[in-house]
Amino acid sequence: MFVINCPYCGPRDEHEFGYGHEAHIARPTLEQQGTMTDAEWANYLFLRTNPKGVHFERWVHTKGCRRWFNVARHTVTHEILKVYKMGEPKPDLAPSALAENNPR
Amino acid sequence: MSAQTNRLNTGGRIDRSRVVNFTFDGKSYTGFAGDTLASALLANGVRLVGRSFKYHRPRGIVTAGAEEPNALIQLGTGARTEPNTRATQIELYDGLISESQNRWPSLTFDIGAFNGIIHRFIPAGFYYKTFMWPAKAWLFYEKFIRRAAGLGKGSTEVDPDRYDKLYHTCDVLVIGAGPAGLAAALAAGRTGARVMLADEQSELGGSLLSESTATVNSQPASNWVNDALRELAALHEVKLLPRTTAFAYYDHNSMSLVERLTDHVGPTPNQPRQRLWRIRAKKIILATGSIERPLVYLDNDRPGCMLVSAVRAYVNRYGVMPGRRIVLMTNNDTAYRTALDLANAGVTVPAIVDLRAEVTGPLAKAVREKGIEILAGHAITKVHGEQGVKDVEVARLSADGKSVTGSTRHISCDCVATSGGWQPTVHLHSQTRSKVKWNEAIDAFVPGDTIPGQNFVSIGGAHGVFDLAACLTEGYAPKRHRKSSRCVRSGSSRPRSRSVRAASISLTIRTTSPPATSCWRIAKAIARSNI
Amino acid sequence: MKQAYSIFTLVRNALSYHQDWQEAWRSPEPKREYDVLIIGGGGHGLATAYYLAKEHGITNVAVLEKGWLGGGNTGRNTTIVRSNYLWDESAHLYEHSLKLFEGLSQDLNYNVMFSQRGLLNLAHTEHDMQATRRRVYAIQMNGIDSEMLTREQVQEMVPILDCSPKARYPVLGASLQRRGGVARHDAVAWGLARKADERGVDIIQNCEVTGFDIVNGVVKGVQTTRGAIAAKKIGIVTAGHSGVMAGLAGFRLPVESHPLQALVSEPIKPILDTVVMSPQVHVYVSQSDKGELVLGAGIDAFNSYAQAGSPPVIENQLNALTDLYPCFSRLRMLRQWAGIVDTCPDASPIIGKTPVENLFINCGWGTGGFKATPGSGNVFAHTIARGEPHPLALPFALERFTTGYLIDEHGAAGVAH
Repeated sequence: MFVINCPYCGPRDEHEFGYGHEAHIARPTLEQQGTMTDAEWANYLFLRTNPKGVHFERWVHTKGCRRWFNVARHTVTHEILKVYKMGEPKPDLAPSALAENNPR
Repeated sequence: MSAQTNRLNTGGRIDRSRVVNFTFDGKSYTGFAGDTLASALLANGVRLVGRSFKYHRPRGIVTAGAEEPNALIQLGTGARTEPNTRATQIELYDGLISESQNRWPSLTFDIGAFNGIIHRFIPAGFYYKTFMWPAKAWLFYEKFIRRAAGLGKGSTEVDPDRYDKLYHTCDVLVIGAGPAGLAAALAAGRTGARVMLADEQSELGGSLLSESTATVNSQPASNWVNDALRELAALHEVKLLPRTTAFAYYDHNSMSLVERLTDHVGPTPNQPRQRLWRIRAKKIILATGSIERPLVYLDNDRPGCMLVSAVRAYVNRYGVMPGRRIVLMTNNDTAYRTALDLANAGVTVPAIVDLRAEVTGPLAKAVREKGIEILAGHAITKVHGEQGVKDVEVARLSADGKSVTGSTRHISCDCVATSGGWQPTVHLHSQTRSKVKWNEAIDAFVPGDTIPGQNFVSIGGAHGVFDLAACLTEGYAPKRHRKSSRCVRSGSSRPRSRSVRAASISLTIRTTSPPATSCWRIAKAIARSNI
Repeated sequence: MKQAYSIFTLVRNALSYHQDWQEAWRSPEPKREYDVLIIGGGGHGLATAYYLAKEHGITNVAVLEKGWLGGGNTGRNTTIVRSNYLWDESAHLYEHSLKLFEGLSQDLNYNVMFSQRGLLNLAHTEHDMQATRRRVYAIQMNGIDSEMLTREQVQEMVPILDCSPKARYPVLGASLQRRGGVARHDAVAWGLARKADERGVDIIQNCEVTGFDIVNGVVKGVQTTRGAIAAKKIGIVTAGHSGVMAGLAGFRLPVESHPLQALVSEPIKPILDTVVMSPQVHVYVSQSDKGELVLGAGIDAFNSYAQAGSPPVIENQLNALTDLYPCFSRLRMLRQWAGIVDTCPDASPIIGKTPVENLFINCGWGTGGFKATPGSGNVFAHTIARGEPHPLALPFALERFTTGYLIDEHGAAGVAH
């Protein structure tokens, strides 16, 4: 059971939160949607990195402040390396901590 | 009502002033407050307590603790009946009703033993090789297989008991209240940290509860335990949790434990029966000790075959002699202390069968002085007595320990206790997905590096340190929580030893030599000699 | 030809203390080249190898397994076999597998203990009943057995289930697939391995694929921890690690890997004779032939390769279990574990070609892979052998995410999603 350090409320147990899947996926603008191919649209909707290593993901504090934020978590050890606010850029973590084999 | 024929006249931590009545397979017996069902049965001379799963081999009590494999009992009746309960963990209460399992019509005469007679035709996994014809018949065969399987019976009524749950957080959670765990809890508690100390047993003290000769500061170890408990109870931020088993170690230092609130007094309406603790700790200390390994010889599962440490516990802690003539087999020094305890209690030890070619030292000397024969370089090859040990066959080992030589000798006895060394209790460590590694010196697996993101350490017997002084020293190394959640990656999971606060405690070194390394080869030699 | 398993050979070998049995499969050194490589030695991978040999005569095959055979999801599932899926495409695929299960023990000469003891899906509300009825009709229309049961009929089949009106979650009825049930998961893996090996397939354990050799968009072979191996065709069948393999080959998948936890109770005498699932209350249970209750529920929400999940999933399903079966309250749970399930956005698998030529993939089975083991291997073998998808596999191609023809089976996945 994770303990997640909500940037607004502090450390709380995992079951207070909802999982928001992979972070940093920019939704195409209306303009872009008009000219995207089906494959590009499918790419946006469905393709994910699903790394065996550090995963940059979103969580929402459903049973608390109900705000969204980002987390960098290792998907094998479950160690949480960083919690950062929504809108902040993907943090620079040590290369050895990051997963390989994840084209994006 | 039969008398407690195997109860020692003195000794043990039981309360002889409180007699407890219980039944096993419909027969009435008495025990004392502080007994487990296992110790009380042994006190009454009951050795046969169950049947094995498939071959229905007669089985007895092997251990004195949670690692008990064979003494599985159907406890209670009706809505509160529970199958597969270990007799070694059932605290005796007045009116307790227990039954053996997996036998019909009775424990001594079980039709299922037919499986044992034809065992050659139904080896492990035999059902993968047959029951395939005709194709539609599997459901038919399955009916009989299912009926033969399972051990005890689950209740078919609504559970009348209520259960409690509680979340808690603390600075330091110590699992195991033996010497290492008590020392760790003391060290942490004295700093003012919030400490929780959990132990599955009803009394705290771990291995020291079965000790007879260990000393701390030239005092009996039990004095040290009592002092420690008194001090811990007085510390406001320390919580003691006896009768509490840590059963699951989850992410980010969260652990689930179950506290047994009323199981030791029997059915108690209007009170929660058990409590589920979900504890998150800044630091977790695993002081879970180690489990003794049995040795291998033909028919080593007969009632009366036990672990040496179990015999020691029954004699010293429960005031029970598991037998009247007990042969010991060992590959390390543990058995010698037990032999001395047995001799002092008036129990006959016909021999210590030692796998090691040469046995010298003060313990061996003391044992010989008691008139106990030491058969060095020997092994038990077989045990006789289907429903209870009657005698053993002993043979000399070849120089390389790979085969058995010469003729066998019979020694009559009613109990065989073996010790093949100690395996650290690494379950909780492994649950974190941290790995274990093989330690050549003690012939056992010890905890390896801790997985990143979990802040815990194993101390004492749990990581292969079996010397009492060393256990206490490891426990006392200060245990405040660490700021960083990144764990120690290099080397072992030992705590970084800052200046030990044990300076004020001068420790008596108890001599415990490490186990010899050849038990596996010996087992093969014995097995080969019997085919 | 391997020595057959039968009561006769069992008795004969008993006379020599079982020392003369042939090993069930060899552990050969990998050759430097094969016609086909199957990456993943679980049920689906072994089934693929078996059917390649049996139905297509392709025997110069190696199955590469990074750990031990069947040690992934194949050894961790809750053993349920059924084909009660909603959409035509899935119904036919899972039914194909169920039919293969019905003759599998005889095919493999290995008792996989396929017990068609019936499988119930409970309905607890009016909406449940309507949705369940709709599913029953759809399944029947595909020629697959499915029927509605009343509350009384459910109570008769499952006496220990609390069907009383005062139950926390009242039971209004259920759907039943009589031909559904359970099979011994390990036996399926071992039986397939033995027969595949008999036909010449090399099973290479402790061999992890660390890279692909791709030249001009065509795969030529793999790099492994036991050296480089060349192949004409390669199939990826690595379940939770499919994304890792795809990454090594330079493409991505619409897949997320999640923990799926399961647990068993202590062994007790027979008390439950069918498989009972409750999507609403969120737990499903059956009793193994050893006497243990086998329990499962849904995935943990977060991505993970840890083969471990969080306690609330277990606590919630045990809450549900004791509400439905009050007599289970005092049973002790003996073992708990988790696998890594690769889930797709539509809870349906991906079978077929990849962007790399001669590289095929079979993944995305999520929480429902075990029941499809023989069927999946069978259609995937055809796909690899012919270079074109088997008709039953065609709707499940990776392309469907681009075309939009998703096959949403979250309802049929039921509890486990």
